[in-house]
Amino acid sequence: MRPRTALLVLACCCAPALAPGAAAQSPPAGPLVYVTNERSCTVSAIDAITNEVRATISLGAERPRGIRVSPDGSRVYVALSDTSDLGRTVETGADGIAVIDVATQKVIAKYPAGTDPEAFAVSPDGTRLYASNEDAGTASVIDLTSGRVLSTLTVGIEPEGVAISPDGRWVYVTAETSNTVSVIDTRTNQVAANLLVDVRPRGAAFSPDGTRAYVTAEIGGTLTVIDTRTHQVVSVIQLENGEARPVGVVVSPDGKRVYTANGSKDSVSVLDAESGALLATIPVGKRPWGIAITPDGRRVYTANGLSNDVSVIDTATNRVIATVATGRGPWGVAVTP
Amino acid sequence: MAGGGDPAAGREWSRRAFLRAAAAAAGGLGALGAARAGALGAAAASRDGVLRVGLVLPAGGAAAPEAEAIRRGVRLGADEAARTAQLFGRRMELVEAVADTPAAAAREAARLVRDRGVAALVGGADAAGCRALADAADRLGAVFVNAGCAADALRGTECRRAAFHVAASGAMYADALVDGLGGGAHLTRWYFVSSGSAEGAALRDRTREALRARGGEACGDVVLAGAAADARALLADVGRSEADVLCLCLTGPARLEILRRWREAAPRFQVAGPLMQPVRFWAADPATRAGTWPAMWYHERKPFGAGSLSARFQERFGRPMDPLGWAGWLAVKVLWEASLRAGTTEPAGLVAFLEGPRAEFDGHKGVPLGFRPWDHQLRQPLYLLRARTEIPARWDMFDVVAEVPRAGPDEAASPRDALDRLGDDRSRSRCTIAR
Repeated sequence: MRPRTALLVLACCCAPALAPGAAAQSPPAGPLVYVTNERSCTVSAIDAITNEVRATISLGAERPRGIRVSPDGSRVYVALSDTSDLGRTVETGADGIAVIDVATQKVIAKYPAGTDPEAFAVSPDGTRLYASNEDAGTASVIDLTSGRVLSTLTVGIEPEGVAISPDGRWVYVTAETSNTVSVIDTRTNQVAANLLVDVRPRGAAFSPDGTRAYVTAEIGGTLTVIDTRTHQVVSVIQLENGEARPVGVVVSPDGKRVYTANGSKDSVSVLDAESGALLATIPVGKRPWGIAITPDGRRVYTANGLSNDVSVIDTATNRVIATVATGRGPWGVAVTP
Repeated sequence: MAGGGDPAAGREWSRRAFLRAAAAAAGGLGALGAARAGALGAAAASRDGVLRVGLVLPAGGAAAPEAEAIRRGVRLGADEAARTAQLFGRRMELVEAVADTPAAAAREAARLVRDRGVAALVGGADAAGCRALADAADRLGAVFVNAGCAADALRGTECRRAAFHVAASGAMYADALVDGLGGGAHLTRWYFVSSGSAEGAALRDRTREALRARGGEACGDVVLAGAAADARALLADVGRSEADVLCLCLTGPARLEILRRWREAAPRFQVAGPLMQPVRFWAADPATRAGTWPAMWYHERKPFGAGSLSARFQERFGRPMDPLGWAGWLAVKVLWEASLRAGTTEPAGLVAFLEGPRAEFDGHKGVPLGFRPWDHQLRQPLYLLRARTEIPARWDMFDVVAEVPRAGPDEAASPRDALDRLGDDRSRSRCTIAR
């Protein structure tokens, strides 16, 4: 979704390139948590051990949303678009994927990714990036070695969430207006199937073994479970009596838990992946959309767009153990290995 | 008249056919879980059949601006539905017809259904045309989606099983206006001015009722005869009555003249009304832009994909999406999604789905939208728009001052219950389709 506001244009001019003292800091002892700040046009890098912001990386006047880390942890990719209020189906100079070098916390490259890229996924071998182009209703396939767009595929209307299977074979692209999931076969770079899901699908995630995919439906208030061998819906789980407005979704590394970020309920639902049963509901900051989990599964992070912070959840206790202030309008979140 | 066979022959409504379709649609309707998943899968697997939607609107006459606004939205909706249909190997076609009178609308409806295989009709630029299409759909065994008529009678004594109303009703507008303006709290004294038409009187009576129910009172009630109005004398009388709100339940030149004089005089009381279409204001003298009005849509709203939808409309037509454009777009979306999810292009199946609990749609308003079973009125939040004194761009003439009811989950009620606070609830409905 694109909540365009005039405020965005003004808001993206005032962020420091680096947090004070960032250059003098020693390397982190643990993972880094990267958060896109849609209204500040920055990325915050949070130390997962200390829960302190180590750097704030400016993206100029460009609006960051989707964010992912390369499989080797050396790069962070950020989807950028402009802050225009006008709809368009042509690419502008602002559109693209920014590449942040984790070692230096600097933007080192920017790749084309079609018009208005919003969310994306990176292949497990780190060579391909698949991005949704919201205004154009397409998905772009980008070669990360050359930075070139290899293919542009027609998907549903107002595409948003993108997830790739652990073996790299399938890419699922949700589309908010058409209530669909398009399945891209990465061997052919063609759309192999389209699924009808619940109303206004947003986020998507695969189970670690690749047998299941999970898709949130914001207006439907549900989580759709898909069998990835047949690309068929196997069940639909209602969240918070259908009023959760879920957006982001992640699966724990052991595949036993599914976490959804419930935008309008300011909460995270914790579900048993096997039964779909609700295990816990965790209050977090305001309007959580983005959600990420550490490789060891011990922490979950939510990007809280209206409270301008990130909630840190201890998955052992299902409680928020820290809240970290970020830039304005946190949207996406990703964790290094 | 187009040639061809008669694909709709023998498709009159029969109770047996309806019950058969209803049972089929209800088969997977257990609200959620595996049953719902099965229904989704079945719909996705349906790969035959073309959904044909007929659009019947006037090209000229008094309702031409409203018709053109609906037409734009329907065309966008049809383009998007056709594109989605391709993803599933299906087709959706829009067939357009022009009808400048109710009689012509009925004739065109029959032609589209019988000769062109149209399963559903969309229209509704004025009440008479709407009535003609609802009756025709009922008679022909088709579905009708009303995208523009607010008349409560169409949802009441004149309701039809085949008719579904995406357009908000007069009762919904009345409740939204009074709620949004605080009619029972601080702006309690209202002075009503209405036209002599039956529709104007009905709107006035319903708004007075909404005001009374919330603790407000009418301190004046004037019926204008014809288009002539001594606006200065009227405003002076409103001032003497110590009204908080001058409520205009009328349209046309008389309303514009009153608004012009109100702007000039800048009195202490507000001016408002339950029914207004921005297409009329966009075309009118800027000096008449004033007042507070409820609306189904406003193009400057951004949340829940509203900004993206308005941007697509703007890019396609070079002008903002107005409320009737939104309703036209949603009318087609509702029909297409009903067809896809129910796995049918047959009118009986569409009706059964639209009446059922699985019929939830995203109109980019932040809550699921569905039809009330007792009168087939779409539940939806409305926006209270107030004319800006300074207009930054040609089209951007309003501020959204309230959303009624508030979007998103309501702590005190389910979203559906909250939406049912707008308009006539089951106990007040005079429609008998659900009895």
